[in-house]
Amino acid sequence: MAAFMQQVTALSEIRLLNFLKRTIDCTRYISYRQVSSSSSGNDNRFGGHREPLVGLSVDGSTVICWHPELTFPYEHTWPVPRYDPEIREGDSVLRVQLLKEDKMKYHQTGPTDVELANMFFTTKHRWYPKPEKMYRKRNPPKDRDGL
Amino acid sequence: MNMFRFPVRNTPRKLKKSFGVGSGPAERIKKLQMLVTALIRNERLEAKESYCLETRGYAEQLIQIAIRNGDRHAETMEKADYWLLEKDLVHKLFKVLVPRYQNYTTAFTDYHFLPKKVPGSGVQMGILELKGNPWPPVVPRQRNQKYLLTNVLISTAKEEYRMEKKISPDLKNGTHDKLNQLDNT
Amino acid sequence: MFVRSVHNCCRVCLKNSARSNAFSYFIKRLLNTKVARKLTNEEARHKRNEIFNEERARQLTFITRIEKIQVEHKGPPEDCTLIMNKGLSTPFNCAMHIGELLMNRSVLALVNGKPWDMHRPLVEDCELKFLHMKDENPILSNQAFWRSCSFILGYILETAFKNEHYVELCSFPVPNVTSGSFVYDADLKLPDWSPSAMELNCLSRVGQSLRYSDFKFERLDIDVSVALKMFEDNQFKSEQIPQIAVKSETGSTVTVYRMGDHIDISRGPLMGSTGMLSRFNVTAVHKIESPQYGPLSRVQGIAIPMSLSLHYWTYEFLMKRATKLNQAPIPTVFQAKSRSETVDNQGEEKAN
Repeated sequence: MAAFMQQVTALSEIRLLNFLKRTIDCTRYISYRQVSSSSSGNDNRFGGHREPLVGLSVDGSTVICWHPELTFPYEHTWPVPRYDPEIREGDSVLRVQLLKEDKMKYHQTGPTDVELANMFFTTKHRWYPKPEKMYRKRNPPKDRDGL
Repeated sequence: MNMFRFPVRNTPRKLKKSFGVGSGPAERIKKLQMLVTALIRNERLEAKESYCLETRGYAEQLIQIAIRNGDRHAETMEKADYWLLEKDLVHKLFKVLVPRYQNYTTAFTDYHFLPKKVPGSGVQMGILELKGNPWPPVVPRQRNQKYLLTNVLISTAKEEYRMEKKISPDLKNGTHDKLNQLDNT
Repeated sequence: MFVRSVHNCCRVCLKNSARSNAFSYFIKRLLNTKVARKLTNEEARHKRNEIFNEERARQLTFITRIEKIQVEHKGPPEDCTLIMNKGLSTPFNCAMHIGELLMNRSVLALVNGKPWDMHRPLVEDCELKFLHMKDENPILSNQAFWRSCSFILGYILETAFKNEHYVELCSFPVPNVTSGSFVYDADLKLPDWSPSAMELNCLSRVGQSLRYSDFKFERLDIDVSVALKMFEDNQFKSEQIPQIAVKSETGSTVTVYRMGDHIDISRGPLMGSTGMLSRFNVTAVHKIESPQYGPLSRVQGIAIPMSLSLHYWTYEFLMKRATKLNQAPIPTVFQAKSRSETVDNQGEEKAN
């Protein structure tokens, strides 16, 4: 499965490169300007050439940038959660929306400070409410002809 | 029947600041005169609890002596003249209210508490009315609530629960023929 | 495309094999009618709504010009005479003219002494009275409320289940408040399912949310042919519609009510809108066996209107009672030949 996916991505990349070669006018630029944030060079962390390419179209009106998806090995992935284990979607005959509403019936105003702190790995303090925001002076953009 | 039909207070109730700051006993009497007049005129009065309850004593006594002495008695006429600021009400007192209350064994007035307004000053208001007045009653008449949905559900549930309780002890013992005895009773 | 058609084929095959006996039985009964089987309740509901809208628009075209009728209102807050539009104004519109009290608390109207829906247009000069839940004699209001709650149960059953479960509603019996619960009999096609407490809560919540949605109960009198087209994907209703039509005044009309998206057949007047509901609970699902319709599920519930208050302990005591099987008659097929021979399909109307 993983190998198959890699082949598919490889095919699509080849098609893209061919398209770019046709559209980008190589006579204007001798080589593509390579935009890379890593200092180690051209390769991405898991191997393979993953540099973004920037160039101009044939008529010079459009700048084309290609940012390919970074590859990562299959071993670094988790399966997409198809059934929320907490509400055990598959078991019930009723709609999932109803089960979720039932689960959240005592949490209709949202998660508490402590829950948010645990979720986002912060302290509870940054989740305190700021009612002074309500009493700020509003400054909406006015309708006018010019500056 | 010479007995008073209403327990009148011995000591006067203090009606503080009834005419604003500095009003004392004289102003209190003035206020009460106004209230008694209004009661006799309109036969129903809505005011503070203390005012209503104080006028009650004076109004009841006034009507009582009018019944007892009639309209030829000088002292009674004087009192009626003093308490009723509008003089046509003296006629009403002797010609309308006295015949109405001639044979009453109970008090002539009714007092009802009103709910306290929230938010508000927390003052207790009330309604003072003469019995037999032409207005619609303050307290609505008792309605038969037996057939309201909730009451029907509750009464039938109660019956079922009682029937089950009756039957279940016999079932526990295992003597099912006792069910027939239940039907006969 | 390919996958989808294969999926459909598999579905059809499975269905035939599992229900082959019942399927052939119904084929014999419904030789002349085409049962266009819709796979989901949503599609069926969508279709019914379209037919309802068309029919209502068609009936409105019969009113070419606005004629006036004189409506005399008797009762609190005041006796008054109103001039309303014939065929367009409803008792609710009259209440809007008179006062907010009548708008909010009225469950039913009495038009010339006959029980009338709040949103049903008035047709002639009449005497109008309003009924509410706290009348001295609230029998009609109670029945209307209970009947509406059964109707709502039907809505819950059609909307709460996943799309792959096709629910066919059968019918609901005459409302009986003394039994302690209102009932809807339906073919859920889930022979092994008995609801857990959480699932019953979920079903109840659907009913409770209707209070905030505040749907009106719109009434429509339709011809037998239109009704059959509307309910062609429900085998039970298709059978019942001709018999219901025979019992009607004209001999060929069926009364149909719409609440939000849900459309169903009901005989009597329903309450004005679902905003009257306060507490609503689905309490139990029992398995019953009908001689004609086969195995059905009897879904029971209990509800209280907004105007009446009840302590939660008492309500839960009543809920416990409502879990017991309701002794209402099991749905049967009854051949009524003419209106003079009418015997009520589900037993005699009980005075509550």
